[in-house]
Amino acid sequence: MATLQINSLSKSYGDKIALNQVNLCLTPGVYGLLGPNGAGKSTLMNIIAGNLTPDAGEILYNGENVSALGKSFRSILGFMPQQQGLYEHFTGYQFLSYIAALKGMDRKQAKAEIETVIGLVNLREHSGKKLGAYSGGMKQRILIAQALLDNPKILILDEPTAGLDPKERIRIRNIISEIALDKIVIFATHVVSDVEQIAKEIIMIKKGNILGEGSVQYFFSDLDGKVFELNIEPERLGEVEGAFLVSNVSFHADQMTVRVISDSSPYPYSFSQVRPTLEDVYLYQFADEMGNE
Amino acid sequence: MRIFQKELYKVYAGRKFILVILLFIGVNAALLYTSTNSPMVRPEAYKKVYTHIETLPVSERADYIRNCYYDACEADSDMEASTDSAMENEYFLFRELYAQLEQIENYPNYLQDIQDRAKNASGISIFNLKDPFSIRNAEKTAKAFQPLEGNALQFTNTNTFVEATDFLATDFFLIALLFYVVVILVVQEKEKGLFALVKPLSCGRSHLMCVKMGVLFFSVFFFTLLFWGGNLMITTFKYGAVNMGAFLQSIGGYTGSALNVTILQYWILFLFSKMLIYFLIGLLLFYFALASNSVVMLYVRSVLLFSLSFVLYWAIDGNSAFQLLKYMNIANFVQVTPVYQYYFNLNIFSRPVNIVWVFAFSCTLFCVIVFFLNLYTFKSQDSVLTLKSRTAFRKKLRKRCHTSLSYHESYKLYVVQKALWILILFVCLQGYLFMQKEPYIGATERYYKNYMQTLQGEVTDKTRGMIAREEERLASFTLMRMEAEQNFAEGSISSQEYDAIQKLVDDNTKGQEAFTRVLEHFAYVEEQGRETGEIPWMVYETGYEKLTGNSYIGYEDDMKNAAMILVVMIAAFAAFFSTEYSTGMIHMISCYKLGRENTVKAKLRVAFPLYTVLFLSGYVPDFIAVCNQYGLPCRNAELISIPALSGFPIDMKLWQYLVLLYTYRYIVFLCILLFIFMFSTFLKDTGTAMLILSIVLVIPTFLHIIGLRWIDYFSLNAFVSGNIVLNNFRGRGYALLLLFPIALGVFSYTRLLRVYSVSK
Repeated sequence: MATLQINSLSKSYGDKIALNQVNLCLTPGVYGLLGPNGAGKSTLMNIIAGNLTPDAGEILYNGENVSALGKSFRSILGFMPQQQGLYEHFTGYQFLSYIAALKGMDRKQAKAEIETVIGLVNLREHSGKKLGAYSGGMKQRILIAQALLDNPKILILDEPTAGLDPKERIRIRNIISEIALDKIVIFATHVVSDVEQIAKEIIMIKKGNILGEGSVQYFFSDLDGKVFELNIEPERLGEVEGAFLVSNVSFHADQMTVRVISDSSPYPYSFSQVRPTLEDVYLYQFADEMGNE
Repeated sequence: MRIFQKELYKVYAGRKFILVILLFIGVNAALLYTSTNSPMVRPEAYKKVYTHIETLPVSERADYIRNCYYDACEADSDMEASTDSAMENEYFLFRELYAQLEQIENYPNYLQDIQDRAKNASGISIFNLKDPFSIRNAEKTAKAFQPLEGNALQFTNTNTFVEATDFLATDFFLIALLFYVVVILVVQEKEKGLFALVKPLSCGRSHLMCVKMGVLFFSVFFFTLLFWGGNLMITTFKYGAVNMGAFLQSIGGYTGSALNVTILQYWILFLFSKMLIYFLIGLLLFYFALASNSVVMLYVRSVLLFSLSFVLYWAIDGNSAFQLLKYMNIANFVQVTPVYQYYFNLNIFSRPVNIVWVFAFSCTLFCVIVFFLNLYTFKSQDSVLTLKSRTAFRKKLRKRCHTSLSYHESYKLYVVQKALWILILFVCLQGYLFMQKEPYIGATERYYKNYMQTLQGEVTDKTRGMIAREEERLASFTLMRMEAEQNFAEGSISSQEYDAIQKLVDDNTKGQEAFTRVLEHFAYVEEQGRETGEIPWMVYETGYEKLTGNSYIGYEDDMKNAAMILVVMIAAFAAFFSTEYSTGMIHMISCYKLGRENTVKAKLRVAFPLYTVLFLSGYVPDFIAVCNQYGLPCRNAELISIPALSGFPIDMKLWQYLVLLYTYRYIVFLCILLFIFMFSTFLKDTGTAMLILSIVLVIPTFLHIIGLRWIDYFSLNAFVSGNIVLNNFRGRGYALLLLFPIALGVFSYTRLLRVYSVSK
């Protein structure tokens, strides 16, 4: 079984610590990387992809240092960066041919695989158009397609579902789940529901530090008995927001239902205890960061 | 106002931009301070004399200069050999000042001449009274100069003012800065998609564009005062102060101007004129930036505009029907001085229209037109780039699967970055310039060519015999002339007989000057024979001298060719690597198997043929032109056959030397290509890279062309010329110098691989 071992990885940009002694051991499956902006997700992904050099630490693939592996490590990599610019004058098909060339694929193999991945991301009828004519979602899908070429063993996806409509988001999630059987898939996202549905493990990262790593249930256990729903008059919302960490606010008839996270029972309000969701976990872990965003 | 402040901040808050301004100011100041119009006289000498003259009463100044000049003449004529360079310099200094004094003292006569000749309708060549325009021109000219009558000119410091207002390098720097401003205000925002963000806003269209062009105008105003004001300060420091209250015509070279203004008033007019033309150029750059999708296209269009202007300016005859294209032209207007220096009327439908009004009217009109064109272009453009699909056939073509990196890199270079178009344009331009080259050679050269073609080859008794016979023949006619002069003086022959003999002698000695050259060449060949024991061949060397920078124009052709090749190289190649950074594709490319060294090598493989075609297009037309005009005979002769090349320390044949020269140039430009790639990768910004590369590589060639030869020591001029290093090659020590560009190329290549291949 393939393993990707990350040992004591650190990276700073001047005074700002982007990654601080990160240790992870990844095996085939889907890993959701959760964290607010500036947490270090993209830094970690770029280091694995070889775009950044860490200040300290190492990354081992099957026990060998990836720097030493060089080209052979890059040949098993599929990378989809965030907010990626494209060659506007290339068609979708041309672009995938180019990536296939970069991956060292031969023509026959490339032709077959391009047809496959283009179908997977539902861009067959647009493959002859120039990338400059693509919508944001289409560009996102072509980027996913290029990452899938040549059946990479390690797939790194930075915000793969950003800009996609719900139907496409589900489609991409399903693709990722299907292919993750024999691949290490790391994907960073803000869409917590994506992670919740398909991730084998969630890695929470905050200010360059790993807060926790484990299954969804593992994180839920932290919040057991701490998530409540309050029924209040709308005028009291401000009061509640000042006193508790509010996860959700909904309005029905003349009543407001407020979902809060609290270590203790939220007296004196009328409340009921509910099961935590991953969103609650995210909010609980990153509440202070979100206040700064 | 807030938007204006913000736009101003965008331009002037950048550290890079401020550094560039400071760098340009420094370089401009250094170049101006070290340049001189008069190689024989040092600036300190001028300063000393001018300062002294200023202390004298006005009535005594003319006498002082006159006396100093006569003394210097006497001292100069007393010298048998000019070993005393100080005295020689003093002679040149006072000769110049005396000429200036004479011009001032003769000014009233000059004005009277204009009036008289206009009345008499004859004389001065500008009054060619054979058509309605000439008559009107004469009348208008006389009228224009009439108010100047009675103006008392004063002897004043000419050099300070002339050098301060006539320095092409300052124009280069200013236009480069305007280019940079336009890149910041328009190109960078376009590339980052910011126009899509601002256009939907209430002040995001016309208002914003007006503000941006307002910032451009502010920059023009600021840079004009900074640079040209600085120039005046530098030349004042260098040569001494100028009397700004004197009439403009007191400045040497401005006698022909009809402006009835003082020097100070002219200076203000000069600055405003510069601002006007710079603003027009800035607006044109602005338009190109709006209309172009990339920095490369902006650069290409800008270069084309200036190239076309200069070609029209230099190629069109001033009296032709197309004179408007010559004079109503950026190349003419940007200098400003030619507009005011001489009173000149253009022929517009047989009416004389003064060039000053043409300048003011056309620049203002075009500024207004381009201003509104820019507003319209911005408003009507799509903010979001959408490239439309074409026909089904092209869709089918686009479905071909190519897995060759070279194929994709070729597509990026030739199609996406338009390098193919750039190459085609360059080849067409070279073809056109080649067709414009005059095959004409002067009479003396033609005679020399005929002589040498007859005598060329190994020196034999036959050669010696032919030379001796020709010498005798010419000597006999010289004797005939002397006898005729004597006889005519004695009265033994009539004037008609004398004229007839003169004509006979002239007809038979037309090649005398050329034969003198032949004799010098033959003497050289014989001397070499005596020294080395082997007599070199007689070779008609003019073609070789032209190609090796040993003709009277020196290395000017080398610099022109190099400048053109460098401009095209920068336009075609600067974006090739840096575009991967500006699109962000580098993050994806570099994490794939062949995305590092292999991609670098693929790019280099793809660039190489284009570079080769470019290089050949740059030099082959010139080579063919020289072959057509002069030929390259006796290619198997030894190098020592040509005096100018005899100093080269390695024995080789002429054809081998030419191969060496062109091979060396090829390698140098190849190394520069690698440097362009490395530098643009290092900067990761195409626009900035193009600007800096143009300054570092191209501008020094222009500076050489305008006479600042010392720039060769601080630039790659010597290497891109090839001839400069080879002509000065004096042995093994110089081999290191020859290797410098190769070292640069190797360094650039390794650096390129490292930067492109290694993670940050």
